Amino acid sequence: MAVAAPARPVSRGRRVLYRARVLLREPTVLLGVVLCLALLYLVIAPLVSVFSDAGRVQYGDEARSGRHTGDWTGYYLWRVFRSPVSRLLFWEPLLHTLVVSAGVIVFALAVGGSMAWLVTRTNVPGRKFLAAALVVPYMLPSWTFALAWLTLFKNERSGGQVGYLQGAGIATPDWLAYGPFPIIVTLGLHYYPFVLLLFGNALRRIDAQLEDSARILGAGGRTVLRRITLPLMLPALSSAVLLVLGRVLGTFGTPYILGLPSDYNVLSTSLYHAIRDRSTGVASVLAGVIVLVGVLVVVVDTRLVREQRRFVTVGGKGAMDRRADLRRWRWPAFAVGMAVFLVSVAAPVLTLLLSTVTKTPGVFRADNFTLTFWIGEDIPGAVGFPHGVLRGSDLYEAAWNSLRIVGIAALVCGFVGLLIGYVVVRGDGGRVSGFLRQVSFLPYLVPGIAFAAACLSLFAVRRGPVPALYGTVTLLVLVLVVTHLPYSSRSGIAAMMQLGREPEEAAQVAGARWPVRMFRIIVPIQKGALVTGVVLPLVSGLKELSIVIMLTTSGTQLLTTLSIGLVDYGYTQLANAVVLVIALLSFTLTYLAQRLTRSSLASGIGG
Amino acid sequence: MNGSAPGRRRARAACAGLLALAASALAACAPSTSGEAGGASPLPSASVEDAASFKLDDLIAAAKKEGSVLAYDGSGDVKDVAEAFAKKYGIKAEGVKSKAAATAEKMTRESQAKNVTIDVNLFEDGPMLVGQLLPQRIVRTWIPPDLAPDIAEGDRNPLMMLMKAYVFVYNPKLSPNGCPVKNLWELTDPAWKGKVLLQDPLGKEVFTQWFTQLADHGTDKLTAAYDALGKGKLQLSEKDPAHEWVKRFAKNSPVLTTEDEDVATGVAAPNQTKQTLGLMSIAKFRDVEQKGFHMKVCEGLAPWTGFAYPKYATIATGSKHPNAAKLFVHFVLEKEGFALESGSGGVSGNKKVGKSPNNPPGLADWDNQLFRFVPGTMTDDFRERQDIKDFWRVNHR
Repeated sequence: MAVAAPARPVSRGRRVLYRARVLLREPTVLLGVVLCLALLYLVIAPLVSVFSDAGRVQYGDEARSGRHTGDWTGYYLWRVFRSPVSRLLFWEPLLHTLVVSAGVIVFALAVGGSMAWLVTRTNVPGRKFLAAALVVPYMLPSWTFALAWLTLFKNERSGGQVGYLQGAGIATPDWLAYGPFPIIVTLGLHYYPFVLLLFGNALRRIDAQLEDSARILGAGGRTVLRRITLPLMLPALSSAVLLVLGRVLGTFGTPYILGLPSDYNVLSTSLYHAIRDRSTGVASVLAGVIVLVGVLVVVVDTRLVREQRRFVTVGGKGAMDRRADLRRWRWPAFAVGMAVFLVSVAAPVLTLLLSTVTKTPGVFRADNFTLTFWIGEDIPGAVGFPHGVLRGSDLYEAAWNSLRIVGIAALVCGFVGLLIGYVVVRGDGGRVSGFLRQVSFLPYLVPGIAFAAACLSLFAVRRGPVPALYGTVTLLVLVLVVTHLPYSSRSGIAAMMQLGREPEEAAQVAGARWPVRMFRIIVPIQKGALVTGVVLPLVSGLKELSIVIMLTTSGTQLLTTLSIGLVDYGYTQLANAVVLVIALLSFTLTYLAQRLTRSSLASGIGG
Repeated sequence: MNGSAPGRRRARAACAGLLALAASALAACAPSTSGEAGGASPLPSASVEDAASFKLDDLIAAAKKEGSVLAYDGSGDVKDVAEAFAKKYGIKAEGVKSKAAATAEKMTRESQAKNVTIDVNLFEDGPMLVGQLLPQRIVRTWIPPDLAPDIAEGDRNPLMMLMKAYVFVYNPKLSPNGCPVKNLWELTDPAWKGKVLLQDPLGKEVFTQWFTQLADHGTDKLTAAYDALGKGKLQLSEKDPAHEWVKRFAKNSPVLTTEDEDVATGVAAPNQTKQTLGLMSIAKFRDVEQKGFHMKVCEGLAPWTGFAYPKYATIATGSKHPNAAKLFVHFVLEKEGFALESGSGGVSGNKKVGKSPNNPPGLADWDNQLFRFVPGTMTDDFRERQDIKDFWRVNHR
């Protein structure tokens, strides 16, 4: 005993040291714990605060609920689920949400999936052009599709200018102008690039040798598709469905604009009404339901992916990539691609562009055209913005602010997303990995307005070591990072799932430490995913409106707030011009990213 | 990674327990996202400071020291007001147009965070002011002592800066013989189904307040107007004639928009070909000049051509520029500030300033043509708000 005693601490110390060394060499666990804590604070805490509001009496509702402010109550649950207005507040919107979500997913999968196959796996003419051009719809703010749709199709069931068709004497039926059909089409057109990007990435990574092997073994084309290609695509497919669904659940702009004339409400517009009315309790219940629906889908997704296990498509071995020869279908396929481009990009952009160069939108006479709204020195009578958008410093300041703030957020997002992907995949089914996978995606299912409101109340006040962040750019960046993390963590996870351990293990054998492995092996291989993980949040953040409106103080003008401000003042033409600038900026940035890194969104899809 | 089954189960249970603990701990400390206040407190009283000791010059000097002021307003005119204010006093001033609900939300947050940026709130949602912002002490009322003698007792708490109006408007190019409608009840006829435009009342509190005010103070005239139609006695299926009118109006498929601008465009744009009627703010008459719109107030509509609603001026309780904010309130109550806010008509809360001469065509007599909100029942308006919204929701087709 006396002899052994001094020896023990030494061995324990050594053991700890050894453990620490192992941890540092394979710091997945450490990294995972740090990430988990961060997400617990940034994601779970705001959510809990939202949910707790659903069960507590809010200021001003004392008389209705018969209790004091802050007491627990079932009043809001009753109002949303059982009261006489529950049908209008919840049940109908729920049904509509299901219809719209299903519609949009089918639409986006059909268009996005076929286009992804076209530009990655076939020799369709103009692949590079199509690959770049078909992503553009995602760069337009989603409400522009709704506005363009209304500009074309609206009839006398809504105010404002007469629609182009109506102006030409063609009466448009209500079902075409408002309600589920236009909502599904416009949202589908806006979100199919998600499917395109994710499928493109996955398709490109699939080793054509796998398919060849199956064929050599005698499998027919359909069997190859069913047994090889589709299972390999499943992570991308489930990612795509989730991404589209999450956005559809939370977007209120499009359903609001297109649904209002025919009283077509979905859950997100119901939530928007509640937040606008400042009925926090009802808003919390609705937000809770939306998150719940999303979580259900995530659970299903996890099951699916778990059952399919993982498929390594980038190993240490060589891979081949081959394109199908379309032969005489090459040009028809090109025509289809161009048609999608025309409908999803050219039509809305041209509609917007036309409106910015006409004095009275919708009137096409020579004397009605003008460039005043772009370059005019003086627009008579315009309050607060008396010149064309390209003049003065407002536009440039707003663009710089947007780039600066969203840019930082996107960079952080991209890198953290890849780290999360790394930990989730290397953590190998552990609890940390599961937690990270789910929680990093959660913000996506929370409608932006609800999340921003929650973050405001949590981080606006000084809490422990975290200072009050209200009105600071830091808070805006923080919320943008959290709300856009799902994009990059998804792309990070999907990419890491396909990357085998071999390359890294080889480096490890050669003596490379973790940071070296990360920056010399993982990052270069995952360059495409990393760029996607930065560009997606960037593009989405540039268009972000609801969060930005809530979190910016009047000093910081962003492009979207500038645009919506102009709408408020009734300067449609100026507002549309700013929207076009947003789209142009997003496109230029994506293009530059592609040129500089030589691998990006478009290269993830084709080239 | 492949622990034995019971071990894993135990770990899972422990994990779940920990998570539950963490969640409940978080729930306990999670702040309400709408504000923390114990019980509905009564409206704080607003008294006038000693007029004798008040000197405007002292206020100006103190305001100049503070350097800047930020004002929020539901109307874009505030930009011009801020500019004029800055020019007059040499104090940096910014005016931001923002919808009432958004302003209320933002001010509540700022007050919670103790980081107040909005100094002055020019606010048209009186019930919200009386029901939430004032009792929660997010904003307060300050009455300029030197102007107080000219401010009516009923307009002091909260302090009314001016009165504006929502009016029914028609397109004189399409019906040159005057307004096609003579009676509010005609708007509930099948002939006007889907032809009346207005902002969605669910998003525009002034409309819901109009409805509740009608129920409290306008039923006699509404009944009289129905009698004048010559269709016999009004058959009520709701509790009062106001609710009856709102119900029939809502069921007659009015066209709802998100902005007044869309109402004005839908009624009066040069290329419109169908006669419609729009309920819009008189501020939209600036489009007549700017965009060549054809619009005129529906003169002779019984019992009212629209309604006059007050806009209130309050100061953020936690303002970092309290004197500049006071000076701004003073400014909007004077002729210069009022003129900028009432380009197309209005009545100042300051009796000395009085009415604006720029009334839109067709609106000459504010006292008789417009239904006027009674400020004393705003607490009721606030209480009934949710019910009237549900009522609209259920009935709108």
